[in-house]
Amino acid sequence: MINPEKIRFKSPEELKEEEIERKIKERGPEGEILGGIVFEEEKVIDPETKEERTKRYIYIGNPYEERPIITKLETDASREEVEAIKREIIPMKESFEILEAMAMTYKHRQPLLIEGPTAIGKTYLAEKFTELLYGRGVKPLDFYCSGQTDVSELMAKWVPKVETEEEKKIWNEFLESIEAQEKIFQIAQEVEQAEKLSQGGKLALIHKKLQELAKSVGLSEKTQWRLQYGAVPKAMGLIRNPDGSFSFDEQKGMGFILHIEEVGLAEPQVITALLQIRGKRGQLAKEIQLWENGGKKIKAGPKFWVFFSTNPPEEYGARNEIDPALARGMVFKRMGELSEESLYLVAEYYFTYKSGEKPEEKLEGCILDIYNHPEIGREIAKVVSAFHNALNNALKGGREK
Amino acid sequence: MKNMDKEKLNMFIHLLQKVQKQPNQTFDLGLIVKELGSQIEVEEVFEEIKKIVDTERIVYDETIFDEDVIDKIVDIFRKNKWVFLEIKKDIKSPLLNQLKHLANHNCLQLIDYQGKDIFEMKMPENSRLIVFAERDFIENKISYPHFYRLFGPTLSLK
Repeated sequence: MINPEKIRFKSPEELKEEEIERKIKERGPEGEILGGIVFEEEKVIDPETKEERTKRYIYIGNPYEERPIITKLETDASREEVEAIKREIIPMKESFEILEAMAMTYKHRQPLLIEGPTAIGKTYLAEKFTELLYGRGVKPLDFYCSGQTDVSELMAKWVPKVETEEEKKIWNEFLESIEAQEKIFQIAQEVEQAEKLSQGGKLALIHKKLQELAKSVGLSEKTQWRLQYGAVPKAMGLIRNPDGSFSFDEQKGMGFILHIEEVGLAEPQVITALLQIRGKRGQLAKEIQLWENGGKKIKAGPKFWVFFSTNPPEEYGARNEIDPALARGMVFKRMGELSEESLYLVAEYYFTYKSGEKPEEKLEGCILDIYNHPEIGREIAKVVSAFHNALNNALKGGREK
Repeated sequence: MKNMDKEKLNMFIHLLQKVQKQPNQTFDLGLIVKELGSQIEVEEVFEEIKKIVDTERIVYDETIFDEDVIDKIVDIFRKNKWVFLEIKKDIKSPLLNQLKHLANHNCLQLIDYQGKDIFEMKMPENSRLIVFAERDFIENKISYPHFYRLFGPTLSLK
């Protein structure tokens, strides 16, 4: 006899969760991954208008895990778009590890830093993740660091409205000098120390100092100046318009995805500036303050998210490890080389034309139409992936020696 | 230019025109390296390329600023032409950012440019970008450690 007290019915929410998990873990007849990303629509009642409308969601989880952590995110992409984007992601274990980390940190407004070797898909997956949230063809705001990156490119700078080529040349040459960096640093310090001044007062002080600077380098004292925000404030306040273009509102913008690449190459002053985007409890800052605009706060919209990526320090030769303060302020995920299985999967996708379109006819110079013979493609994939793996090991050995 | 180099150049252009990287289906940027001791002049190489594809040349040296180079690239792309970019000074951050955008996404992405908060321009299907530099210069003057990774096909001229 079944004890009725031990019978427990599952709630609709639990049943839904189980269904989503089953879809995330779905595999094909040959064990190939079909899940990982699931699209669902839900009918919701708008609390203000009381009208029913449809919301779109994607669920992201690692299908290689027995109990995947599944993250639900609202999306602007259609079902067809999500399916098309899914087809462009080779279902490697590493790809889903990265996507899972992206989805979780995006949901919780935490900055993410992934350190991993070249060609594991950091840049590609940042692009695909953005497309999964916004629709096909939408790219994140990408910023590439190098030893030459200037803080002003990331934060903000004042740009003179020069009228002649000669004036432009004078100003640009000045900006590239060490003297310019010192003088601009002095202005920043003076503005920051003028604590008693209002925001308007600070802006007036900046203008006065900039006019003096312009005069000292040979520009007119009456030069007009324009404040130009860098990648960080821009991403905090971007609004994506219905036509796909972007506009900026430093107070009401929704925010957008910012991918800062090769952060391991950035100089210490750039890292110091980036530390501003750390907020409380490992989250992104809700606002930042810049001396360049007189200390006016720039709000981070709810969809602002920062993803940092970098290669391991050994690939940079003399470069140091990622700055510990920066790493501590975000979710830090370290990835290794692609596994043998993943290398084979990539090669198999490539040589059996699972990704990309099959050519309509044999290409000029080709002796074999392998797109019509997946069995040959699979054999070539075995050789190519074994070669790539051996080459990786040899190169690694060389580095260690 | 020797016949053998002309053949190599033809193949190099052909690869840039036809080969798309998987899975993102983007075209590669090309690199032409003049090796130490080579007698080939850059003008000669540029003229040879012009015979194959409609190309305009930009010289990136001490007399030009990154913003101007980017303006020129946008302008050349608008004309559906190829860009032949001769590098004669270390690549600064604004240009490097755009080269990386082109290499990764075949797209330019600029902040506050031509009246737009975010300006995006896809590299036209009939346009490509080729960088020309001397080996000695690349090895000793380019500070970006992954310079070679920006490119797909590389043509070495001896």
